[in-house]
Amino acid sequence: MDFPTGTLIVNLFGALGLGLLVGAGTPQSTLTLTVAGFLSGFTTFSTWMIETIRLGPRSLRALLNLTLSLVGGVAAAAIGFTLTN
Amino acid sequence: MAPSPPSSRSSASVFRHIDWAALGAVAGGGLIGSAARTGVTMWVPTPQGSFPTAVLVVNLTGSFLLGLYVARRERAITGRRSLQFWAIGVLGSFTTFSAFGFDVVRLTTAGRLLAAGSYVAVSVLGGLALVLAGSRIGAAIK
Repeated sequence: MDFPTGTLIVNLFGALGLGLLVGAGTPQSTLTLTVAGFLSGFTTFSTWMIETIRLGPRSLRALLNLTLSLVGGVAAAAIGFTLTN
Repeated sequence: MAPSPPSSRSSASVFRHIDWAALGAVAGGGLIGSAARTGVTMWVPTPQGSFPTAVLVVNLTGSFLLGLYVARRERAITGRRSLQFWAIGVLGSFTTFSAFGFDVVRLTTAGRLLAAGSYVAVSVLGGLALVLAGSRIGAAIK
């Protein structure tokens, strides 16, 4: 299986986007809820999980997919939040 | 899909390469998944700043259902469209990585390091375990 870069990219961008949105501290308007909802729908946790499994047991790529997404995702959210907060 | 002539470089030719049917299937499923996720987050009480139970629920449930679906699909003759709709569309949209990632940031900056750590552990280890469980169950069902 090819390395799931697509999922990684959408997840990192989505996490960044949510960080930016929440950091900006805009009130709970319809727009913010829509954008937040979109970002949550845009990103995916389940696909990340199954792709990690499918990269094979005890595989370096599976571990890489796990850590890159996890560290990258949290970092992206933190960066986004810091930028607008 | 019919290939476009190599001489066409206009922006219009880009759209000819998009699999609109696939996009529609994913988007349609995504609508359902997002609506379902919103429903769950409204139903599972998560007061401001507390442990993100709602997101954990959708992510673990979605992971299990995806394992189940993919295993079932390998036994049945379902096409790409069904996979696009259910797996990528519904379940892909039902679960959320952005909320998960931001929840970790939120808990960490609030000083709730144990909560952040256990949230990550339960989400990831639970998610992986549930994909496998769903897969096993899906393969076992006649």
